[in-house]
Amino acid sequence: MLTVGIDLGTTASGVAYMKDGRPITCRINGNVTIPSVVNYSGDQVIIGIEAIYSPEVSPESTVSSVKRFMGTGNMFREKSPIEVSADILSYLKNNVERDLGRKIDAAVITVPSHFSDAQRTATKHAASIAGIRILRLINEPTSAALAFGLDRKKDGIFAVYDFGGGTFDFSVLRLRNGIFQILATGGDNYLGGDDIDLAILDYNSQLHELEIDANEKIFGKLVAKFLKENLNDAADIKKKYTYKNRDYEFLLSQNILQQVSCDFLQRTMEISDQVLLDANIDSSELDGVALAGGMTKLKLVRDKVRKHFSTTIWDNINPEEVVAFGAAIYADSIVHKNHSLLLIDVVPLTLGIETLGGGVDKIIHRNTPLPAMEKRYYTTYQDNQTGIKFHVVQGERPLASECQSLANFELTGIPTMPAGMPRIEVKFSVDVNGLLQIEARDQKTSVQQTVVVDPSSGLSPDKIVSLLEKAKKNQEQDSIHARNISLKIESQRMVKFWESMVDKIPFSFQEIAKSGIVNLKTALETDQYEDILLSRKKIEELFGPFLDDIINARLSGRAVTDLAGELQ
Amino acid sequence: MWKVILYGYRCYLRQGVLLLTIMNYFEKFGIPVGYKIDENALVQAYLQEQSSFHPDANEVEFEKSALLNKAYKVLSNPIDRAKHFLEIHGKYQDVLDPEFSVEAFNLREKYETLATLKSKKKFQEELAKRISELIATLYKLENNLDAFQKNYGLLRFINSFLEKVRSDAYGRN
Ligand SMILES: Nc1ncnc2c1ncn2[C@@H]1O[C@H](COP(=O)(O)OP(=O)(O)OP(=O)(O)O)[C@@H](O)[C@H]1O
Ligand SMILES: [Mg+2]
Repeated sequence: MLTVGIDLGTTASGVAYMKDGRPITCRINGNVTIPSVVNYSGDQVIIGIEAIYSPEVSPESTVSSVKRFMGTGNMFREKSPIEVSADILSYLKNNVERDLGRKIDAAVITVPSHFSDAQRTATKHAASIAGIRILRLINEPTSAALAFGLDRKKDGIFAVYDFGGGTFDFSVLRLRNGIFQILATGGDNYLGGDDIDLAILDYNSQLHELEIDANEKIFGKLVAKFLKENLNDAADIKKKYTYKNRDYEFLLSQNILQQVSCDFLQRTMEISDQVLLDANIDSSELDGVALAGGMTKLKLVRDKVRKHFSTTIWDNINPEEVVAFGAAIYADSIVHKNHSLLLIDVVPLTLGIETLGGGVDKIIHRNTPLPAMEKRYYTTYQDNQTGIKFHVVQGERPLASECQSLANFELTGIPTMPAGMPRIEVKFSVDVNGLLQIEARDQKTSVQQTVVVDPSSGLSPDKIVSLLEKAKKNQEQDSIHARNISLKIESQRMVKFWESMVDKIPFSFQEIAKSGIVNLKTALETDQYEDILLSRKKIEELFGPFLDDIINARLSGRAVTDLAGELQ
Repeated sequence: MWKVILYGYRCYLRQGVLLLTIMNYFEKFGIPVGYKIDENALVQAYLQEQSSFHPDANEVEFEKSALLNKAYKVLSNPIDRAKHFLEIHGKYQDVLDPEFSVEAFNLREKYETLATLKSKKKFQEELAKRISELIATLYKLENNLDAFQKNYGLLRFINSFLEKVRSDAYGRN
């Protein structure tokens, strides 16, 4: 039985599992994560690194960063964020199963800590469509805390500063005897590396007085991202950017980086301070701040965190793997009923009911520990009223219209009575995944209704059902034969991909790589599936360490239209 | 006599009459009833209980775990704890004592005149400081329930006022 932890990230996703009591990452294409990017051309669905850099893909049909739109009705290439996420999850699942030669039995999947009910529900749907049984949804910073906690075996009060590609999260927690008690959490769904990439791009387009079309921004952002990730300690770094057949030199210096990211960093600190306030913890009481998320690789970010908190900084686990590690640890602890470990997380955003005047009756406040349950009693305000309507919202704003709308439901079938006579009990429960369930009951008649809170997750219930049925069928048809066919198709594509990359790796490796590719081709021609797997693995290991160089070469060597696109 | 434990309440069915009494959260964690508490003992007892009843440890005890969370949340927060302390003594009421209505009025007036973000931020700090002062006062009034009740009334007013001021200022969410 295989249980895994999955970090479904805005820009990068990865899978980890437990081996000999420690979490390890399943490498895919030789890397610890895959880009959360999908290309839809015709019937083909191409995912991950290939979706960006394969010579076959066109930017117009490439979709990325959909996590930012989970739980909304936005569509990408006619796909909802749920379907795109399901494709990413399937890809992860298939690769891991193939690599380890075992089926994934169940998974813990991570979400940003302040993901709303709608966004969590959407994530859950995506997993079901991908045929993954969810053990738990856990929050990303909590997950990182688990990984660090296991590593340190130290009790105390800690914070997790998680700055990823799309979101920023900050959590304060108490660790005692293996229990991770979250005291407060907060964050911003629209504050991540993506925003800084855009700011670097804007800076450079202004410098060159360029007006870049929306469709082309995408590639510009990739160049910006490259600059950001490769500046390191250098005073500055330059890269060629080709736009409408003209070359420009894009620039990033320590100064520019500081200047464009200043406001974003400031905002992360404001959120952190608010969370500390909510937790009633003074920053001097913190025993450590753990770092998670790729953005914390930036020296600028680390220095700022160090200065702001003046406590020990925990950064000894790769911030791109740490979230999946924690998820793997918890998945393992749940299935093995390992009671030495327990997570007590909190409600990220206040849940309430719209009042008559358009205000919000706050029912479960943010940072309430999970599971949470509250009851409220309602009555009718007109004689012989047989139904009461409820509007459930989530958020901190005083007006219901300014909060996120979660569900509308009506309790019907109330017997006719004078106004104020019925007594309707409404029970709100939030489970350990942060998912809300509502039950309403007329205490006089015991008419009971369970409201399935399926907030506008972006897909209609019918559509979800039909996708689930399709997924189920796929699973039933999932035979060795079918898997072999898909392995073959994918490997054939990978051959082309690697062939186009082979001259980008160091010369001394090129011969081995070429002969590896030849072996793979032979295996493909003769349908030797074991050999296909083996030779693929060898090539992946060979290319893995040079992937960044390859991408770099790709970025500077090719025309814009040949390169990956992003919608947003 | 029947005794059923409902969520957050104890219900006694006595001669056909349903009596609701507030559940005593202090008892729940086995700590002495009082406004001053040993926070460490509370955390210890809470975590101990949750390790048996949390849904990840025990699939059937959802409600019990939720109730523990609620009890813990109330006791660990000095404002909610003050209310619970009064409730247990049958002294809780939802009014502002006339003695404090001038202070409340002045605070409201002042908030109306504030225009800049900075001044509003400063006002928030002012309210937070007043809250801390009142909590400190409550600690001294533990044995004088009438005075405790009056001061709690003001504390409650200022706290919900601060919540309003904060939520007015709360950015996107
Ligand atoms: N060496 C590096 N230097 C600077 N930034 C980096 C580096 N490596 C990765 N990043 C940035 O980190 C971000 C990705 O981080 P991460 O993989 O943690 O995010 P994610 O999990 O995809 O997103 P989220 O957690 O927000 O959903 C990107 O913006 C990327 O450019
Ligand atoms: Mg992440």
